[in-house]
Amino acid sequence: MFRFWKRTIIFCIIISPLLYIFFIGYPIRKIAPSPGRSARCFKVGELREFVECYREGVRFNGLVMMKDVQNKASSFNPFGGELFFIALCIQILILLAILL
Amino acid sequence: MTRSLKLCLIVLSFFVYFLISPPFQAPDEPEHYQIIYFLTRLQYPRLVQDVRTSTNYQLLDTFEKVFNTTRVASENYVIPDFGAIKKFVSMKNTADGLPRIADPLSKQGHQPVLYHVLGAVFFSLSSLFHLDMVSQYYTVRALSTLFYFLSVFFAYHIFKYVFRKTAVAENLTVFFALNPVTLKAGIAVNPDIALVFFSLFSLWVTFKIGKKISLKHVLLFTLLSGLAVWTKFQGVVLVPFFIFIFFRKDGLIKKSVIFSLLFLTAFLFVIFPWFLLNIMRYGAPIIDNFSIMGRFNLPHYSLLQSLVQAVFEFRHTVMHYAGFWGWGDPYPFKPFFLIYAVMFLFLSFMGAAVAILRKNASNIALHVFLSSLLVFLFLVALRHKLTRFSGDIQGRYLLPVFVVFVVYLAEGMAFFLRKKIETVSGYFFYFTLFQYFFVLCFVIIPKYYV
Repeated sequence: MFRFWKRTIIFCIIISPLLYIFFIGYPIRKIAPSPGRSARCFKVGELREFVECYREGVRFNGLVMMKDVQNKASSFNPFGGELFFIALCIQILILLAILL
Repeated sequence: MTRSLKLCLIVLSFFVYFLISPPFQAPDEPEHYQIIYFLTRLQYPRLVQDVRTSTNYQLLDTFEKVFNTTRVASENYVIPDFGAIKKFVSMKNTADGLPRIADPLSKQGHQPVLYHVLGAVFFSLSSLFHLDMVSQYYTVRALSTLFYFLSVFFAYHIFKYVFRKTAVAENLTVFFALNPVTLKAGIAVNPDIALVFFSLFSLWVTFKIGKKISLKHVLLFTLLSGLAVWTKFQGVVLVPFFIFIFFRKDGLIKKSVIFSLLFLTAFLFVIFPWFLLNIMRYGAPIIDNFSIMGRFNLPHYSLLQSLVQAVFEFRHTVMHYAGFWGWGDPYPFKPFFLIYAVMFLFLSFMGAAVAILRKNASNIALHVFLSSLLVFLFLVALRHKLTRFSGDIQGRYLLPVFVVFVVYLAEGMAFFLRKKIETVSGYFFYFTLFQYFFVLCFVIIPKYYV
């Protein structure tokens, strides 16, 4: 039983980045800047900016965020976005099968 | 069962990065891609001498359209123009009808051409099917994918040989394969991953041959080192490694000297056409592109300062393994970046010390394999410092010896935690998956899609 809970905690830690962006999400600006510019209010890699951004920005998370990423990823290849999320889901299932 | 699942995990993880990484984001991709294109037109671009005065080193208009729609990672807060990409893809532009350019130039024209020639085969195959330019790019990217999986295959066999335990080899292979630098090399149109393959193949071959070296081994070593140099000049580090193997395996000085001389002669014969080509084109057998790729704005260092700075230069190399992506900024949050680098160095040094003290044959080969590349890159870094060139030694340059670092890291952690290597390899397996999702969620997705 202890082994099961230990593995479950490890599994949750491994996929914690995915859980974080799905449930809490990225902080973005309320009003989008000029075209071609990101709505992100943090520079990638800057933790302080990322944290502070939550005060002024809005949260971009859940299914809305997934749908947006899926649409954008489909720009390069037809079904690119769908394949990305399907692969991600299978990845998690395989990880679950290995761990538990 | 677990092995198959881990293999599926590697394949899917790679596939996710392959899909989610926009074209032309890895270092020097547009230039390498354009060389491949010109080779399909039976033209071999020369190295551009001066980027300020030469105009035809630039990307062809149509490639530039692909390039501009995706944007480069070095521009902050700029994400790909997805509307323009959709429009470009829907127009089904093909590279077939592009006009012929006389005397094409490239910033990567100094590179040997083996990878590019193979890329030209992929490019031509995709032309047969009249693929549009974006699909064609992904087809050429498949060449790197091929080398990536071959490298992962040999990495697995190297770990299995070193540790003699299948479970350890599996876990460490996942750690090797899912590192962001390895993944990036596997999706980039760049010869780095082909060099990783030839290097790992060479290391595996030296493990597999018995105590007796024969003439066929000399020929095999010549072929491997020749192909490595024809892929990227950095492959020359296999030459001292193979010479070491001659002396190490046989132990007979006279025979080893004869084999080494034979090997060197044959090796020079294999790479002579490339030297000749360079002499004909540039007047020197070996050339580089440092003068056009960076700035010479470092302070004047004395020789002693340069030596210290050259060692310190390897900080970039180590830090990149934390998840550095692309040409410029994208990297994970700095605390992760710094903790990773410190832990990497600490465990590597500890593991190297443990492995050196253990003195088994496979470990000695690993030390020499690593040292030959470290010495080469140290000399490159020293040259940078002495000539005031502002260029770094990137993680991808060290990727051919990343397997050795993985061995050291595992040994170091096992020693530090006083745990069995099987247990420690499990930690590496968990950590690399966390790192994979962390880089995906906090580097790649925000950089290109948010």
